[in-house]
Amino acid sequence: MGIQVVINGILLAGVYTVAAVGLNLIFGVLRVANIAHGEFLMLGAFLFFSLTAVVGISPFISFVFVGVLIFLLALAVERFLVERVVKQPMAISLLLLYGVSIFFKNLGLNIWTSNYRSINIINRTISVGGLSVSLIRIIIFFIAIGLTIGLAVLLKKTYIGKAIRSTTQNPELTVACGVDIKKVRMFTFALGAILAAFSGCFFIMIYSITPEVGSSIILKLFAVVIVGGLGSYLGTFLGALVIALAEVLTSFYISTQFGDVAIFAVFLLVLIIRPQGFLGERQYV
Amino acid sequence: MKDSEKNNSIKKVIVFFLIVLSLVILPYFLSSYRISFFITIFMYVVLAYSWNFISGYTGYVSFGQIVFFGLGAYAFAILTSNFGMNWGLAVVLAAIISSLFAVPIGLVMLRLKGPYFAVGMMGLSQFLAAIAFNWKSLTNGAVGIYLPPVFSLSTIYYAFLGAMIAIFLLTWKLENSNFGLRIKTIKEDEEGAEAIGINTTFYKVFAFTISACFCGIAGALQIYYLSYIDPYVAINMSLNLMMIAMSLVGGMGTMWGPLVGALMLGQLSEFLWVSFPYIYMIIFGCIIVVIIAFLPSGIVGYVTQYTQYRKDRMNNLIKN
Repeated sequence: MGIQVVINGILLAGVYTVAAVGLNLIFGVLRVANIAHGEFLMLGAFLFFSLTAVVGISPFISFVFVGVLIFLLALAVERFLVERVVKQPMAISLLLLYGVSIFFKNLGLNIWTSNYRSINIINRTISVGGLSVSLIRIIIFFIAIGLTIGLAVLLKKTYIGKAIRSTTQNPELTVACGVDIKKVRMFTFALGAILAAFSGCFFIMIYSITPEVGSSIILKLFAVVIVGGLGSYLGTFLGALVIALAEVLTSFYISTQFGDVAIFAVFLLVLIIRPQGFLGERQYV
Repeated sequence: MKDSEKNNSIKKVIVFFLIVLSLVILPYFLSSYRISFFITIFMYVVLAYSWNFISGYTGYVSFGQIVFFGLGAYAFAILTSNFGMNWGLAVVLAAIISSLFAVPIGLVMLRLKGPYFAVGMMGLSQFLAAIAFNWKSLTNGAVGIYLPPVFSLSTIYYAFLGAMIAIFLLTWKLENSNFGLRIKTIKEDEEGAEAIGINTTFYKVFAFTISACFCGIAGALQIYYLSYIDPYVAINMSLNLMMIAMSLVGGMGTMWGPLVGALMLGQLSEFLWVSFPYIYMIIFGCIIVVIIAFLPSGIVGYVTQYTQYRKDRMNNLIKN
């Protein structure tokens, strides 16, 4: 039984990684902690729900639709709001994004009500040697890994990817090289939001969630990023593994309600012992 | 020059006492509905000033001061229901308990900066909510604890009034003393403050503790007023949002900001709360966004800057 719990934890880590990489990306380029990340995740999940379960579009097409919609929304949020506070102290941008997250969360509650929703696309479980794992979780894990690898390729090989990485390392020099850094910021924010939205689509296929999911998920995502280390993508995956395992194991062996408590304990422990995280750089602390 | 300044400060003291006096005699002329309205407004003012005390002056934005509201609330409920304690003593003890919790929490959390601190405090509030739900022998879980109802609203009115005046005077002291100046340097440049020999940890934790103490008092009095507690009332996330929004609208890190913000948004929320709960929160989200994006120093901050600008321009005109 224990092994099955661990496997579920690893599969869950894939979902966390996708959203947390987006958060990490945004922090790297904009130097803004995106408190509203959980709300992009929620919007992605519930748009996906509306498109597949209510309108009745095939999941693959609605997946793309969700991506496009969230991309446009995030572009607008960055262009008209976040861009104004990028240069200001961290407290200001935090409060702005807090307002954005409250706005979207309650908009979501208004539109989709506070009922628990989920989508069942594939109901099969695979049993190997006494272990049974649901097929959808395995598929999602591989899609998530695929997305993460795709992002790595985007960052390594394309022009915009190089611009993103160079902005993370040295914004002034990037401007001096003739990169339009405002566009880079806009694109990065939207890219991060898309990743959150995709992760939301996975969530609603695994769990039943309400539009309030954002505020509990954002803590997990921050825990993942901070445990793994800001600015390190491999670290984010490690962080996701640690957090997902901590959550799943405590939920299984102690009580479901203590899953969040365990995450917070790990998070606090890492902050006190090694504030830069497993693979992070000292400069952000 | 000195004489006129002295006259000014005497005038200020007189005005302050007149306002306090009118607030003291006010409940004799009000219906109990009006008194409970004032009680809510006073609670907002206390919470807004407490949030301002740590986040406005030191720049450590806390998304979880509601933790201390909850601690004070539960301390009060448990002391009065399990030990049958007198309410006044229970409020004092609740304040002491939340301050005692604030010291170690502050020592750990205030080592973190910017987003780490903000998110850490947010996590702490969920942590406390989880404890409140699950430690059933102490908190009675989601069922909550019922306390004997209160008959005299004006007692709570005066208690809140006292708390409000105390935090107001503390903020005034912070604005007008070297001690407060040292707290304010942390916001401007923490490393610089350390370099000139200010023990920043002490001042941060001190401000944090004062803030926690008054959040605890507000929590205890609010529970006395409601005579009921459950985790949703104690770790009330919309109240958490309210105190931040009120400080921001009035002006973060200003003397009058929290008061102005609490009066304005307090009225607005009384008006909106009952009829549209979700839209109400959407509007508060909007208010925070708009204020930060277009009026980052809040109403009071903006007025101060504008009058300063006018004064400077007049001085320049006179000089030339």
